[in-house]
Amino acid sequence: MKVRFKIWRYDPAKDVQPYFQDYTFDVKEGMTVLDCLYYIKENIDATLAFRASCRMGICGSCAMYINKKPRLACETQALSLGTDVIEIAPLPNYKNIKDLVPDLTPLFEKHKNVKPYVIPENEQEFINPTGEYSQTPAELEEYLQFAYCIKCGACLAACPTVGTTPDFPGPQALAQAYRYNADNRDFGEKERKVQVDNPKGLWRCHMAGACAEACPKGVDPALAIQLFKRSFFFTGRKPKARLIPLNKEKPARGGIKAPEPTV
Amino acid sequence: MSESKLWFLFIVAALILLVFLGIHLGYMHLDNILGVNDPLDYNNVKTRGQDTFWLVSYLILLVAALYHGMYGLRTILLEYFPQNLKFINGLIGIIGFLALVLGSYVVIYSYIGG
Amino acid sequence: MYDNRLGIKGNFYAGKFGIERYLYTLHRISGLGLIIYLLLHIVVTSFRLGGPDAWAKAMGTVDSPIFKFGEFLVVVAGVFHGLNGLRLILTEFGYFIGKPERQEYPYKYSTLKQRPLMYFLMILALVGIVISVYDIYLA
Repeated sequence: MKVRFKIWRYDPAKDVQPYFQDYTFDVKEGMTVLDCLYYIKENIDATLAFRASCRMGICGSCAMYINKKPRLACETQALSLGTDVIEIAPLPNYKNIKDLVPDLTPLFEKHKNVKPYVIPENEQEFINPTGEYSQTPAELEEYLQFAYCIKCGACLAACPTVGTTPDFPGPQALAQAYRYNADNRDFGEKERKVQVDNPKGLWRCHMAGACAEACPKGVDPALAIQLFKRSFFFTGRKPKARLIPLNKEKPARGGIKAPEPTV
Repeated sequence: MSESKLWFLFIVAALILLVFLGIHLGYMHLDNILGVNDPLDYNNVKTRGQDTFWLVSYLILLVAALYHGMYGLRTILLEYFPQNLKFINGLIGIIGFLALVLGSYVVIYSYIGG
Repeated sequence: MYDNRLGIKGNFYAGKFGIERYLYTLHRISGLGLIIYLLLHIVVTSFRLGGPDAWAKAMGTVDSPIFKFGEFLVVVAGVFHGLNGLRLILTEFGYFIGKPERQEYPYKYSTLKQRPLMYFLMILALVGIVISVYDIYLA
């Protein structure tokens, strides 16, 4: 099927304003938008710049604004968009480096600011572990969904508040802050709350819900942020992970072998 | 005060408004359906103003509506002009304070018999 | 680098998103209208202190078709803002948006889960607006 690609072009060395350039070629069934971009780069116009790596929805490099919605180019079938005109632009709400490449630096900065790692109660235990922390499947479910974030930046492109307020941490960082708060091995909830409880922080989210729609991994940042808000006022007692000392006993001969310790 | 507390009060004010503004709007605007006397007639306004029930509900409405409205206005200004935090806070504080003084003066003066 | 920030324009159109993203803008506009009305309202009712004549004069000024339409807009904004706000309060405290769960394609995310509530409240708002049209213009 002949498809016309309207692709955003911008070269900071010579363009003042970005413009759209058309490329038309025959798209075969099964080609993703990323395949189409590679096709254009190899066969039509080698100057086209875009960012991609794993081409399987893991690395989060190829998030783009495809037909007016932030999507992963590698996980979008060109023909399933249902039109013969496909408009591709870089993610909005970021600075545009070149063509389809957005500058994701603010995303990573905001992510770093919310301390996105497990903050232990006892640091020595983390450096020289003496046992394993218990975590039931139910406790895992509390945060597992949010741990699938690949930092593609699609949610910030969808968020109306990020569009107007550069300092707003955005769905990605706030969801990751909640992901660690909800982890029962973590003791950094207070620090993260202090980090986002300011006039341009958490409370500038008004549940527009666009981040949840945009997320290509189903992480649902909107849900995480609302649960984060809730945790400021309904502080249910979260049972913290128990430390289970390592079982040093040797298994009985001929019996079932105990699993290897994981730390 | 931390932003979370300000936001929480904003939500509490919203819930108060949902009840009291519901009564107020229903009484003032559904007068034809409910069959109450013209709520804007001076004598009716005067009678209401000297009723303790209306005094209390007007004061609650005034405080809740001003807090909720001014916090909301601050949110909007803050998101569109994020560089002017101090100026916005000052502006909101002054407008809110003046409106509160004028509003409560009118309500209380009416009650005492103006 | 070209700054591709959507800004205020992005509040009005930013692509193919659910209706909630545009309710965000509508909520904001109605709220802005209501706070401006509230400040005017406080000033206009203060004419009551001047006695029956000043009151009658103030009421005479606001008794024109334009002000009547303004009154109607305030009621519409109030009804919408209140009911949409109720949805926002419920969802922001974690109700009607589900719990964290393992995602399976097609994803059932929070925006979809609260959508029935959104439709219910918007229909309720529509009923409220119809009643107020009846009262202001027809009764």
